[in-house]
Amino acid sequence: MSAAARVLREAARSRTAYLFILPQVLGFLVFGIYPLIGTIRLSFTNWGGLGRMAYIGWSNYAALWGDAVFWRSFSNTVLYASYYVVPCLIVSLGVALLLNLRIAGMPFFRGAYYIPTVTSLVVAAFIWNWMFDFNVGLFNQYLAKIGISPLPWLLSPSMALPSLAFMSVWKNAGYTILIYLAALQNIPDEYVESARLDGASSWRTIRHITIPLLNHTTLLVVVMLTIWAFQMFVQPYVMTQGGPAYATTSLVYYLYQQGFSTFKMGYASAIAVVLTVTVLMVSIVQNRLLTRMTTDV
Amino acid sequence: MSDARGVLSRRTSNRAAAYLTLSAIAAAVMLPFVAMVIHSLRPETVPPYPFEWIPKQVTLASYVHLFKNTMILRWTANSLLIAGGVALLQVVTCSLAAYAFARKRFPGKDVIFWVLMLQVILPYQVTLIPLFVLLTRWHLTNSYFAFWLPFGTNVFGTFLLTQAMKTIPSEFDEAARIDGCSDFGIYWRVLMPMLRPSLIVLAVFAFIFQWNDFLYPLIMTHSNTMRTLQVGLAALRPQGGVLIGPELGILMAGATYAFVPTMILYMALQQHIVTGLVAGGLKG
Repeated sequence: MSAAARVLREAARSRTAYLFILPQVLGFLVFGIYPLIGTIRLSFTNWGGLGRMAYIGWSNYAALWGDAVFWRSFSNTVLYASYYVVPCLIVSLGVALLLNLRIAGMPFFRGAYYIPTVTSLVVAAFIWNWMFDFNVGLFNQYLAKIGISPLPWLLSPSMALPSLAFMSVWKNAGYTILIYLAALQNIPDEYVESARLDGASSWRTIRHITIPLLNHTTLLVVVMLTIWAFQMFVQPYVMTQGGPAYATTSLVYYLYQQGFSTFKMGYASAIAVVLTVTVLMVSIVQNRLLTRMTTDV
Repeated sequence: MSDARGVLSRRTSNRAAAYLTLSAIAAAVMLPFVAMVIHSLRPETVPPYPFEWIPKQVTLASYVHLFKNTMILRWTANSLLIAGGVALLQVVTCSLAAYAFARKRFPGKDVIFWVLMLQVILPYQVTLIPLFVLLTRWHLTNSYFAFWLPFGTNVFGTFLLTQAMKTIPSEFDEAARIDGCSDFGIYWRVLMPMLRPSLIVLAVFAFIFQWNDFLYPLIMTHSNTMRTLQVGLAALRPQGGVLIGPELGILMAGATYAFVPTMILYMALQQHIVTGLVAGGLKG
């Protein structure tokens, strides 16, 4: 009997198993893979949402290459990620280390820090929109109290993106704290204690024992936060409309504008492909680094 | 002796410093929410600036306005139906698939599993346009099906439940099989009850994700009656307008209203959420 026939017979016997995975696989094919191929296909057309579409080769990509707003939105997204990822890591590591001192009421603190993460971005955007407001905002109110003139948090092109990154630290640190805390609790006590017995100070123990042991976790968190940064949409949509002067136009916001405001679906699809490739690259780099770390140890 | 006491008191003061720091950060994290609630209760006659942490008068006028002049109840119902439906569907489809991946041997199993994992990496934003086209062609935009179908399965959920199911000893299956249980019987009567904590984790995450999501419902719904709570609220924000006048109070009332359910859900299920996040985060 041929190998093919054997596989077929085995497959027939596994009918039940296939039935069990059928909904998931169908969902994946119809709403995952098909649209992914669709994005790539559309990115080579000039489709305007209605009517005929024509294949125009690499024209959309060529246009992207020369589109200053696209580059701005790409660099904004990368900058935004770099503005918030590092502060988020530092703050969360510090807080997680403190929480790991077997603090009573740890669940309360952990809960309090995590609440912004379960809050919707629209709610967060409303609150921070007010806090950042030039005229009636909370930050400028307190700055005025200590005699500093009001800052254009969201109104100046150089401040708007860092302001949104600041908000994102508040929004996402709860998640990072939780992950770090879990990782810290996995570190056997002996590691830290033996370093202590050798006379290392707390700071040196943290610096040379704890932080290297967390490398793995740090990498995962960085990738997670970076991928979230690449999904940035609500803040520019609700708070800044991508401005001032495109300073907060993110890739997804630009994609939305091109695809759903001006209905340049082909062009927007090309942006989506760039987004896909970027996110995939981040994941591949993460995988490489993870493998290298594991073989190093 | 005195040395030991010195170490002890240093430890106590370290601990006190840790508490102080943690409390200060907790306060800083929570204060924006407190301000949100205070703003939502501010009477129109009180100017929004300077902001006072202890309000002299409070009123529910902003909430009344919200319920009288907007479709907020309808939006809430939409959000509940969408998020609840998606959560329920994911629990079913993901656990079904997990049973096959954790318990059955079949040709192509590993390949299928790893191809599915592709979707974990890709955010939905990248497939938004063709998905919109597809659902438009099927006349499903502006309906609950635009959410239930694409989000009714979830590869990450399948992964989570497969891992969870693998930790249940297969002796349970064997015993049930000897008693004459079919595959579906084992899945439904033996494994599903034991999987409950993981099913709750998945349901909560699916619910909160859908409840909070913005871009997808913004694109897939277009009539005021089909808006989700988040999209409806965002539409109340005057585009680029200055936040003075009554709209600030109304926005904050809406924010408070949308915030409370996730807050309650989180408080009630904190332990499950923490376990789920750690499982998902640490394994990648």
